Amino acid sequence: MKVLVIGSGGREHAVCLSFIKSKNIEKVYCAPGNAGISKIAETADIGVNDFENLAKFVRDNNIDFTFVGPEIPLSQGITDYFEEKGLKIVGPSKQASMLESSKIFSKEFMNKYGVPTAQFNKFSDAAAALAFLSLCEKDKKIVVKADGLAAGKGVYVCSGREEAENAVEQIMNDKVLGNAGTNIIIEEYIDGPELSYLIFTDGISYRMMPASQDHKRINDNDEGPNTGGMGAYSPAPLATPQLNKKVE
Amino acid sequence: MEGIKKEGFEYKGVLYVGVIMNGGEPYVLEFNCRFGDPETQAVLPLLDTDLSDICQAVMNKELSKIEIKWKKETAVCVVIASGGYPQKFESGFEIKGLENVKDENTTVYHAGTKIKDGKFVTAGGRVLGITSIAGDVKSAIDKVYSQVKLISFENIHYRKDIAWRALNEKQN
Repeated sequence: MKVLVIGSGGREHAVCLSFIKSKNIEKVYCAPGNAGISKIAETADIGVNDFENLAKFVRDNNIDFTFVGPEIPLSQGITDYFEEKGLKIVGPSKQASMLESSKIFSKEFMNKYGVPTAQFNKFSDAAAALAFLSLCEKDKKIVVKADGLAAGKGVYVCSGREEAENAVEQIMNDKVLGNAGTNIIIEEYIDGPELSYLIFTDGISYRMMPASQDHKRINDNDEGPNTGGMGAYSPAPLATPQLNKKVE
Repeated sequence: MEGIKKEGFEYKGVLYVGVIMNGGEPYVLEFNCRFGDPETQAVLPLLDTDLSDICQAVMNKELSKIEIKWKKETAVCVVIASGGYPQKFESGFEIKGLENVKDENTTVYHAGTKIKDGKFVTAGGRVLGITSIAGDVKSAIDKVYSQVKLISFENIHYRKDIAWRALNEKQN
């Protein structure tokens, strides 16, 4: 079989390597890939949102299926586009991707199905958000999040009301995150260690992968600004079998 | 998962659930609809089942029919970044020492790299991810940092405390 991996980061390098180790895969393609990936797979200079040319590339090269790495093409419906054309692809539909691409959609989904999560309020205009904040305790930590995709920059953990007001101004009035910040949520701050669970699913059943922890801050001791992630390890000892069961 | 089924979502892929622990209870912070980066570089090296078999099962909605095996080891991934990231940083520096990473339990993943005049140069904030796997956390940490040290470029930056929390919890 032949597979196309879409994306260009370390994540896609890891996915390509796993496919290369597969006994069923004779050739791995990656679009657009990067310099490291070009040493192990055939890379094609096609953007991750150029669905038409990606589909054409798949057809021209008789590629059996496609694996999507990043969130942007998923949120724009690459899966729906490929499936309409009869091409096989691993990745959720545009609608299902809203679990990531809209924080409001995601939080309402959690509430509807009893998934424990921080309490939140949603806002579509800055005045209402600021009015809400004026009723909050002055020095209580609070979180302001842009509704849309913001490449990891859409979450403001604020030390109190003043910082939260600034975050609302920046996101909704100054539009520093563009359309991602048209709507926002304000939610309670929960303190504690974080864990990442990755799950394979076909929409009916699921299989959990070993839990991992990542390190978001740039410097040692979790200091400095947030990044896309500076390292990770798995399995995380914090993830006891009992906890894994609860998360399931 | 119940919700995804009930809503009739077409969900064939990877779901990422970010959880925060408070008072012994997990709260969901966020869902992502794909593999995390760099978590993937710490999880996939432990996979002991053919990824293409899993993908076929996912696409055919037959995931319940397969068992997925994982290596009973620990993987630690250290990201090597350009100094200045996540703010302003410079690119285009030659990456030296890649050929010295020969350990069979270590993998170098490229993120922001380019080839210029036949040499790898930096081309992004996060440049490389180095993952080592070993029988326990301590050995994996020691191994990965022994390999990270082999790599150099101008303004290199990486954290020296990746997986510290795992070590502390082991000791407690």
